This record gives sequence, structure tokens and C-alpha cells, in this order.
Amino acid sequence: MAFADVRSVCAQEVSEQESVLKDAKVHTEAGETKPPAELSAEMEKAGETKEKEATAAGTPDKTQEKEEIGDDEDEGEDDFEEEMETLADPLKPFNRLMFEVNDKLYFYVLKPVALMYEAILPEQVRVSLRNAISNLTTPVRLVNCLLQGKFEGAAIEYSRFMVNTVAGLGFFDVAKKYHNLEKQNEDFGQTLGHYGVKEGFYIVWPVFGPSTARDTLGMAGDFFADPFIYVNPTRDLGMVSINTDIRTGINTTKIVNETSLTLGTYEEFKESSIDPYISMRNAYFENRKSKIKK
Amino acid sequence: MKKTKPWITCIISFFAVLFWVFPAGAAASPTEQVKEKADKVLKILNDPALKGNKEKRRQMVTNIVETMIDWQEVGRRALAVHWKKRTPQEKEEFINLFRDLLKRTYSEKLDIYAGEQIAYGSETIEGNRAVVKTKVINKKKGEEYIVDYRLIKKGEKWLGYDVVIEGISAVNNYRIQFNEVITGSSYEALVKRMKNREFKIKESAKASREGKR
Repeated sequence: MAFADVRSVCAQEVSEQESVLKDAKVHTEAGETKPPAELSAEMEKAGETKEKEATAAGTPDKTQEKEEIGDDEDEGEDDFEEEMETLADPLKPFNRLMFEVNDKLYFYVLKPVALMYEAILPEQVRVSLRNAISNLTTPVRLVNCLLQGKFEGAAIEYSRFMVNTVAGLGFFDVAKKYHNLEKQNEDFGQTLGHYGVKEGFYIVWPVFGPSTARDTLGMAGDFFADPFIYVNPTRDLGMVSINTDIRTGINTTKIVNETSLTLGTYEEFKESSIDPYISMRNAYFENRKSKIKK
Repeated sequence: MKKTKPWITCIISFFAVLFWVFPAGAAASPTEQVKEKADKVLKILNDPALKGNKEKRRQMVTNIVETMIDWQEVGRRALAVHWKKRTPQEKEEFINLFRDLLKRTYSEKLDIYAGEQIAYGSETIEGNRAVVKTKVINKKKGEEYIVDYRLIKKGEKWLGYDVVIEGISAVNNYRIQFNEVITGSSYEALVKRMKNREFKIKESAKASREGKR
């Protein structure tokens, strides 16, 4: 709804410049939002009449040295067109509700537990635990690197696993420290995105948090790439026998541990937002986009 | 020979004066300018002499950071398509509101950044825009964040208008929030919310200062 309003407003504002903007979209889709010099000159001409009115109407006083407003405002136009790409949110009422649910879960369940946990375990222990858990989740990253054809990344993940398990006992990121092997953060959602699968609609799952149609499929995919579900299988899923106990145990520890190491982040995030739900949705969207690009 | 000598001297001194008045590299690169300010800020945060005086540190850092930002550009981008419809007074009010909101939100949490280091990566310049890539590293926790600064050139200075953290553009993030409120309710409602939020942050800051947290 809101998106449609915005679109019509956009269309009104830039009706004269539409064709120029289409070009701008193509150029800037590479990731940078800075338009090439020629385009801005073209746009300047196209928008000059409009701009003259705006600037003549009286611009606010500026205390710092400034160039022509005309240039900036015109250059800015196609930025706005391109970046207005937002995540489709047809389930907004449900999502907002789930956001509230997760919010309460954080303050009433997760945070108290994380605080106790923080009080018991010193920071270095928790950082080491973070490394150990990260080590255990190597298969997911490795598999997804391979699926995306990122063979170097797969090799790095493999090396990291070997080095960190042997030299670091799983608890120390020796590979990063001494061999500069960085963690390759890949998951099935990113693999799907890599092959052009669009994210689909935004959905907020209770407990699991923000996701999209594609990333939820990703979560399901990664579930089957986790070696631990194949240990002591008890349940039958048709073709596969699984046991989710170990996985659940690891995931719970992971969440509590991470929270204890990043206490205050969520609170700060809420405080800095006018509408935390929207802020989170957008942050999730932009972050995933940038991860897929890497 | 005698005739050309003074001629050559003339030319040489002309160029000498030129280089004197306009030394090569007079304008520091975007990275250098960012680094200069960032180093100043980190120095203040880590200064043992200012250790007990949180308020003074906050004030000093805010003063430095304020001069690094092109508030006009930030405000314009944050309102995006709604910017043009605002009167000059509204624009000024908005910029001040937004600036205060950001100041209040982030200056309270400054001390977190004290133990961190910044590694400077590549710099891209296109016309009057630049992007400086950096990594903020917390060695103790083994955490790293990619932080890109987007700058615009105003005269000799490069001023920041956006910061992109792990792929998330701060200005975009606010823009989408503002847009939601404006299209869902109205611009006036947004202004009201911003004033309200600022009030709430003020209150909670006061409370934590008085040790009520």
C-alpha cells in the first residue's frame, strides 16, 4: 500500500526525467550509487527548470561553503529512484506481530539467560566457545561455497577447519590469526540468491527472527547439510533418518553465547530507530544483498 | 646567452612561485581526511587524562564528528522524494532534529569504540563523490566490521554523508523508516515522532547518568 503511494509520488516528481533515469539505473546497478559525470550533466539540463523554481523559492541558510545546489539535487534524483528498492512485505501485520513477540522473548527470556551466562563465564571463554561452534558449522559454509562454484572459498573453509581443529583445538581461530584465512560466510539462502533466486516476501519467524521466502528455503536446505542430524538417527523423514537433539543443543548454546557477547546491540538498535521493525527489515535486506554479492 | 639568462630565471621563478602557492597535493585525499579525524576521536576516547570525564569526552568527540558531516546532504537523502515538498524552514527544522537525534543516540555509546582499531582499505573517487573502505577491528573479541564512508567534496574538504556498515547504509535505513511514517501518516507525524524519540533518549540518558539503570 505504502509502497504504491511512494511509487506514484516518485512518478510525479520525475516524469520528465524518466528515460534518463532508466539509463542511470543500468549504470548504477553495479553497486555504487554514484552516477557517472555525463549522466549528471544530462540530468542537470533536464531538471534545470524545475530546480530553478526550487532554488529561487529560497534555500535555507548554509554556514558551510557550498557548490551549486542544482548539481547535487539532480544527481540525487536517480540515486533515490534506484535505492527505493525495498523488500516486499505483504505479511506486514503478521510480521509486525512476530517482531513484537521476538522483542518480548528477547527481554523476558533470552536476555536474562544471557546475563546469567555472562556472569558465570569470562569473556575469553565465551569467545573461544564462539570459535568452537563456528568450527562445527563448517560443513554448511563449505558445501555452499562449492555449490556457488567458489572453490577457493571452499578450500579456505577446509583449511580453516583443519588448522583450527588441530592447532587451535577448535577453540582458537589460529587460521585467521597466523594464516589470514578468513571465514567464508555462506549459506543456502545466499546460494539461491547467487543463482538469481529473488528474495520473495519478508517474513519474521518467531524465535528465528527476520527472513525472506528464499532465505527460509535456505534455512531448510542448510538443515539437511548439518552432519549432526545424521548422528544416532531416531526420526524417519521418508528418505532420511534424523535426530535433531544435538543440533538443537548446539543452536541454543550458540544463540545464548552470541547474545552474551553482543549484549546491548539490540537495545541500541531499537533506540536509534524511529521504527525498529522497518529498520530491521531494511537492515536484513541490505545485509543479505551485500553478502550475496561477495 | 646573456639575453636568455634573465628569461630563464623569470620562468623558473614563475614556476617556483606557482608551486609555493599551490603545493602539490594541497588537498588531502578522502582517506587522509577521514583518518585524521578518526585518529583524533580515538585519541580522545583512549585518553587516560579524560578517563573519568565522560561528558567532556562526549562533547569533544561530537564537536569533531559534527564538522565531518554534510548535514544538508544527509537531510536531503534521508527525506528523499519528500525533501522537495518541504519549506525552507521545515528543511532546517528537519536537519536539526535529525542531527540531534543522531547525536543523542550515538554519543551516549561512544566508549564502546575505545578499544577498537581501524584499518583503512581502498578509496574510490568519482567526480565529487568518494568511498573510503575501512575495517573496524576488535582484537580482543576477534570481531571485525566493514565500514564504508561515503563522502562528498565541498571545496577542499571531503565531508561524509553516509556510512555503510556491513552493507547496510545508515542513510537508506533512516530514509525507509521516514518514508514509512510519512506515507503511512504524515510528515508532521514524523516530526512528532522524532521529537518524542529524542525526548525519550534524553530521559534514559539522564536516568543512566543518575545511576537509576
